[in-house]
Amino acid sequence: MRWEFFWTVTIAAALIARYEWPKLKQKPKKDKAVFVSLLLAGWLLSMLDLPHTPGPSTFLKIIFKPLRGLVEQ
Amino acid sequence: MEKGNISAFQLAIMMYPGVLATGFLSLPTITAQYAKNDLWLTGIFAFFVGLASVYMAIRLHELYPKMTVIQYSEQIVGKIPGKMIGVAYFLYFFHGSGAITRQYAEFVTGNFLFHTPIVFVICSMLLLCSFAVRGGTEMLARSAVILTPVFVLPMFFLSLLGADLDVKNILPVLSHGIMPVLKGTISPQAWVSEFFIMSFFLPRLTDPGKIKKWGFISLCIVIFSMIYVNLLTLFVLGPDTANKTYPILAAFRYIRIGDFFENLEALLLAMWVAGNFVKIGVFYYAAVMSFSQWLELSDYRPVVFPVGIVIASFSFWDLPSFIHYSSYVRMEAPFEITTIFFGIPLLLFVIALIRNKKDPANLNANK
Repeated sequence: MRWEFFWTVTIAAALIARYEWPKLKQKPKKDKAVFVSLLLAGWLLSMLDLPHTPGPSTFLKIIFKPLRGLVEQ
Repeated sequence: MEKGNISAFQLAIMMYPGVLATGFLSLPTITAQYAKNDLWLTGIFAFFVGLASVYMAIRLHELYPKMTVIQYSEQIVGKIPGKMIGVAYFLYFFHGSGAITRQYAEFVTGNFLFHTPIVFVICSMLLLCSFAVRGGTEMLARSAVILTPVFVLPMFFLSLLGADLDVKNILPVLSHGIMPVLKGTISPQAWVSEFFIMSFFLPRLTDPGKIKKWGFISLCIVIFSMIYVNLLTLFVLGPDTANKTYPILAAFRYIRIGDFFENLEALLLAMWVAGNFVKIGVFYYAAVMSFSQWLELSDYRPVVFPVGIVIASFSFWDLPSFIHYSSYVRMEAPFEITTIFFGIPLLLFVIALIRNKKDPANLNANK
């Protein structure tokens, strides 16, 4: 799964950059910076072994630990 | 930033699959595990939370017209705390849209397309949704108006079960007291509180006066559908409901008319794909809008596709298998959703009311 996803994202990111950039040219600098950093963030995320990287659900597990008793049987 | 306009009626239609698309997938089994044969009662308690969410979304929009929750949170609690609330919102929407897409993909690959890589199912759906979101509110609303009737059809098919229904399964009512029902309500009430996502569409309404009526109607239909589906699966499956991953799908397999009209579950899949498309579209749109409004970008369109990549990443992140996923949906998601769509709005609403009471000029200044 890992490399499939990485290559999908790489190709998608390249296509997005290719087709969106001409329209972004007249836009303010901030828009361009956000666009590039979002694409980079997505691409970097896809390089990780995402399913086994601690992330949002571990974080939520820690936050909502006190409430867990409500949903445990 | 956005020019498309929708009507209150379209918004009401959009909210139906917006709440129930994944609700039908995961709620009956979760509620049945706690409430057993009283699972149909959970919808009644969830109604009040939904009512509060709809009311808060509409009232906050009346106090701060033409603004979404990202924009008025800055006005209500100040610049920096407002920005922090904004971060919570867009991070949630990235994660939430990812989780919803994953739910849909697990359903499709787990029941029908066994050999299709899940990456493909997720990416193709997100690609379709990103075109819809890029088209704007109007496109999303129109596709919802076309697709929601398709999504509602399975409800009528369920009534074909006729002979398989055993009404006695409902007895004994409340034999374990009210506590299991309240525990079972934790998930449905979170799903219904998703009605607050309206906040992102309210500024686009052409007839804001009608939204109170339509929001209420939409909520009532959602609650009615929940109770109806819970009752029918209970009548068909009885105490077995809690053991099925997708009780509605299991009930659908029982449908048989004559000797030739069977295996309707493939039809169910096709119809639920339509519903999930609307739901993912609505959440995707909220993710894009909250992100671009938080950063005060001049246009949201360029970030639609990059946000899609991030959402796809979030749909895999920290969720190695379906087991982990369903544990997340049962243990964490209800609190996560309630905080975002009920907790934070309630806080904002109370502060906004106090501020406007203290200083009526403040209210007029915002108008």
